[in-house]
Amino acid sequence: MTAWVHRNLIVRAEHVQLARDLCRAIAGPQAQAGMFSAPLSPTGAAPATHYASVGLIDADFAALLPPPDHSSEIAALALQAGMTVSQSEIAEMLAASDVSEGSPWDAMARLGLQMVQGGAS
Amino acid sequence: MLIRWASARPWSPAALFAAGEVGAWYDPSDLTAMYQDAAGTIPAAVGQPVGLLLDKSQGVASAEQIVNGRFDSDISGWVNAGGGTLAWADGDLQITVTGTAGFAAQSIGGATPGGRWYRMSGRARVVSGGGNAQAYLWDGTTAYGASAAITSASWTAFQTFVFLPATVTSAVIRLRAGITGAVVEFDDVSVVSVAGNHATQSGTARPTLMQDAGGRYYLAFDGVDDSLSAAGVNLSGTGKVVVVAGLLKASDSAIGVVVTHNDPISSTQGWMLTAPTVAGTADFGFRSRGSGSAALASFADASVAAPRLAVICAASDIAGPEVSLRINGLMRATTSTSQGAGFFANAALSIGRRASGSPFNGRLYSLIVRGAASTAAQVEAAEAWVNSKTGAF
Repeated sequence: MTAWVHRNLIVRAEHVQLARDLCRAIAGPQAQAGMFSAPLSPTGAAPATHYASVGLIDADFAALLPPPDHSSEIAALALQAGMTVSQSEIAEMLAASDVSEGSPWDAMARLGLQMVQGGAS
Repeated sequence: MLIRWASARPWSPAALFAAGEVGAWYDPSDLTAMYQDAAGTIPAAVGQPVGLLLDKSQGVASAEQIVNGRFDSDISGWVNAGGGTLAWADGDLQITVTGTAGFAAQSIGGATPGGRWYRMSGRARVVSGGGNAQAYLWDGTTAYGASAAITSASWTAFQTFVFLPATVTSAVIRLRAGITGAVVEFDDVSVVSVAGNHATQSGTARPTLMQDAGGRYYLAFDGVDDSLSAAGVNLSGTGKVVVVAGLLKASDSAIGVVVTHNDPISSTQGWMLTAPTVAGTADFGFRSRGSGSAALASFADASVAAPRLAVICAASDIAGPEVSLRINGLMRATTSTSQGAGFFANAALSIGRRASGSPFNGRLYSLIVRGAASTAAQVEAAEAWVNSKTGAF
């Protein structure tokens, strides 16, 4: 049975495609669509500088997230799934990312980020 | 003596759809109608994410699409789709793989399989050869809803919910056996069409099934990325809609889209229920648009400031023209501003967020969408039922 844990994952915009691709490789195509879909920026206005994924994730997946650095293990899992990506690329993305528990609003405030608002019209 | 028997059967939202009205009825209090994953393989429980929320408006009615899935006496109805040999083996379908993979297949869905949901299920085992077993729907190009590969020598059940896009014009169920030399068996295979506009999500964007202090079930939307989406909700034959939602609005700080149809309605016909409608304002609102501009009925007042438990009933009639908003059984806003003409669309229903953002921060206890003219009695019955799941008034 899957054990679920709550995490706030925030990646820089230049890393979001890699983050989504790694989720797809490791967790399957179904996982990609629902990951890193929330745009963030310092002012709350577009363009997004970061993207957030907030919610329940598999505990096994959570164990791969920093700290410590698991980039070599992630690269190996990606390779098993047919995705070639260097360990250094993954390490760079992880080093620039923020992983936390608790309130996503606290995490955004700590990083000086706000949700990019989509409007209501 | 004439005795009149009063019906003891409680009113159900199913009554709103009994004549084939288009819409959806999502009921988080029904634990049989939710799964953790979009493919519907693992039922959801409290504290777990919900990736598939079944629409109960059509009673989750199902119709078997294949014949002879039990293989009681033979394998008639199934064709050899290559890569192996098929045989009947004591009540099972046996595939012996001669290529890299062997296939048995049977057509499903008749002449119009697309635009519908199916539940594919069965069981399989690997008899010898270290192979694997899998089932999926196939349109000649693409596999849909592939089950997890079964490698066990013991009978292992599989079940997958899958939506075939409207563009699919022919489809089969494929029973796949790999690898070369393997012998694989299938039994109790079924493909049923599952009526309804079922909503899905994946990853961290799935809402979480929770229970409040009163024991009421709800879906928790985190106000960041949570949402559910149902493809192809066909309101193209009507310009009337009623939306009844039992919810708790947790914050007024940012615009929250509770549910919207055919987003973005700034450029096309559709509607959107928001909580709040204006960032930093204590309000609820409902926009609706035909061929013209969107008309908004909203109610702003300290009495609806977050956190606010409420049953919202929003309605629109493009031709009226009218947009209205009831809160906890009381009419709070109406407008007769023109929305243009025409009907709504055949488009996705998005719950908890629109594509560009504006995530809803709060709880959803129940949601009914009905694309038809509704009487006052129907509206009030729907509100009362949703309130029984919400406890707002």
